[in-house]
Amino acid sequence: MSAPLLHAADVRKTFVVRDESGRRDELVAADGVSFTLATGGSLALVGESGSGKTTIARIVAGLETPSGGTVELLGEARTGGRVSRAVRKRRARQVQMVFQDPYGSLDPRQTVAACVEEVLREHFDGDRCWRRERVASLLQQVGLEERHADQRPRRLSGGQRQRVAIARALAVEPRLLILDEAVSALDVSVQAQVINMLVELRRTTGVAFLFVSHDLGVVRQVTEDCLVMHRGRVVEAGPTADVLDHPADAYTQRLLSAIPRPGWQPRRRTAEVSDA
Amino acid sequence: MTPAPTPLLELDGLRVDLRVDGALRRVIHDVSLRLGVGEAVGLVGESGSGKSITARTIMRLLPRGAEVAGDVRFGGRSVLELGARDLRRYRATDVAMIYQDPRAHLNPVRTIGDFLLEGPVHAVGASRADATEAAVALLRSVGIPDAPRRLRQYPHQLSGGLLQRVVIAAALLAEPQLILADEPTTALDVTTQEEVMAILDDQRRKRGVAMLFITHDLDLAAAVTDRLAVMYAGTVAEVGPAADLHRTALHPYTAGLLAARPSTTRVERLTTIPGRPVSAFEVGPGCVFASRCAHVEDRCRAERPALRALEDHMVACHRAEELRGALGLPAAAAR
Ligand SMILES: Nc1ncnc2c1ncn2[C@@H]1O[C@H](COP(=O)(O)OP(=O)(O)OP(=O)(O)O)[C@@H](O)[C@H]1O
Ligand SMILES: Nc1ncnc2c1ncn2[C@@H]1O[C@H](COP(=O)(O)OP(=O)(O)OP(=O)(O)O)[C@@H](O)[C@H]1O
Ligand SMILES: [Mg+2]
Ligand SMILES: [Mg+2]
Repeated sequence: MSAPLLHAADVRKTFVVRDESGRRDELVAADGVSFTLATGGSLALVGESGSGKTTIARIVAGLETPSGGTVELLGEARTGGRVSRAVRKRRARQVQMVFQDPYGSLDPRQTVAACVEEVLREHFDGDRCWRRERVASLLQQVGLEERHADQRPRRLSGGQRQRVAIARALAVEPRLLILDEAVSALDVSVQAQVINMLVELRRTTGVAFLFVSHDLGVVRQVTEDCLVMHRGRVVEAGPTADVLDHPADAYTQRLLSAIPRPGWQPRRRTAEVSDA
Repeated sequence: MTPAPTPLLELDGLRVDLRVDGALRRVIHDVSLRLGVGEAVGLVGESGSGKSITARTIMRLLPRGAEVAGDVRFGGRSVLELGARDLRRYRATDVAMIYQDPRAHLNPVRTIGDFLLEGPVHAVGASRADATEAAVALLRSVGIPDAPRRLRQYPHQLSGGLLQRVVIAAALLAEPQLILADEPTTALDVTTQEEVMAILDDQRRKRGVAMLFITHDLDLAAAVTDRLAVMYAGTVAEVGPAADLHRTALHPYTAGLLAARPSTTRVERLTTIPGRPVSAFEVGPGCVFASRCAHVEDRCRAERPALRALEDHMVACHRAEELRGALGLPAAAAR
């Protein structure tokens, strides 16, 4: 067993919100969340909207401070809040995050090559020639063609933009790549290409994935382990194959039974609605 | 042979051009489709293939400056030629539309009750008491027990799943003959999607209402429809029986879509379709799928295949007969 890359213990996150009459209220977005991700491993966070997946991902990325519990990356505690530029830079070399929306995360004025090169310039000493070669190899790694290098995001399709975002994240050679619904907005024919690319990428580079998704089919292809979250808590955890083939928790079972597949028929599970 | 009854809805060689920056842009090349009374058909395809534009053409709700050729007939009458008064009645009572994002189509400052009763009271002239009673009964049948309270609430006070149930109730309240559902569950969680689909399916069947169900999800569409029409780049590539299209697909695009779905039960290198989905205006004179098809020949690039009958399918592929059995479908294997 390889050394753990990431370890979360009893993580809790609350937000202060206002209810309808304007009173302060505490919303528990995550509670008692613990997990370990091995070096080069791939862990899925699955669950429905609002279950706390992004909250956990943002805490691991250092974009949010936990209200309780600890997160350790490479044996070092991650504390949120203000940190020095040097610390921020060092952390960026360890963890990168890719979001669902490939449109929002790229600068519309930058060409694809410039966007990746910028990251290299910030983090490495190599000369221009080295950077050029590195950009070319990163673009190739994510399945983009040479001709894409001089294009601006506007001219790219959703799948291509998402590949650029991934190439940019990989440029710093992070140990951990957090992918938050990174393939969810893609059409199925393009999504399949990006999934294959991600699987190949992890095999060849050894980067670990924290893979946030509500799509259990995608999770099966990309991850080894999985955490099922429901209302901020982990309801089931284990190897992805075991969890999906033999779900033990009632909520996981419900989630799996709701996925359309050949021969499936939608059924009403509840007589009444419990939401809102 | 008895003559076939008049279909409820016929799309006949539909072609649509929209105005983009002053110039016309082709968004639908050729869509022909029929729906019988009470029949459910799924319109499936990737983003930009023209599903929503097809639905909007049926409702005659295209953006200004759009040009439509071919015909849309409802109960044998051309929808494209309806006068203002008939068009209003057609939209109010013959066809009901359900959208992906109910919030975007509901007025946030009006109550659920106002929204539900608007049609019956204003368009049809029912009394408010009768309409309220009907609305409450209907809300119950779509799984909303505390209906009287809900009628006084505003859209923001309801969850997405609950709001979509309200929209389904509103659609049924008009007692239409046809429901156009454009990705009604895409914004919902999968468990909520199952509930909402079960309700829509059940109510639609009970009332004998026909449905055109638009979605990206082939398996979801197959579960609630009789036939599936697969669209690509503004064209219908294939129409076939919903229940076994996953085994009997004849068009390389349908087969490619099926193979690209990630399985929840197996890990495999996914079969992909190269490139990206193209828009109708980007395709050449040949088959709209030619640029991505693994089975393309010279003829496919030069000549656009017409949608034609083959077995119990309709397929727009020159090579459909030859390719039967060669599209790599999982013959009997479970996914
Ligand atoms: N900054 C914030 N302020 C207040 N509440 C928040 C904030 N961020 C998240 N929440 C709430 O925390 C809960 C968990 O949200 P989170 O975004 O982690 O869910 P998620 O599982 O990622 O959902 P989705 O699948 O919709 O992305 C939700 O109820 C959400 O509304
Ligand atoms: N108002 C508009 N003006 C110009 N072009 C439009 C307009 N609406 C849609 N289009 C174009 O028409 C084509 C078909 O769009 P349509 O909305 O029907 O796709 P769709 O199949 O519903 O896709 P999605 O699954 O993303 O909803 C696309 O190329 C789209 O860019
Ligand atoms: Mg999220
Ligand atoms: Mg659409």
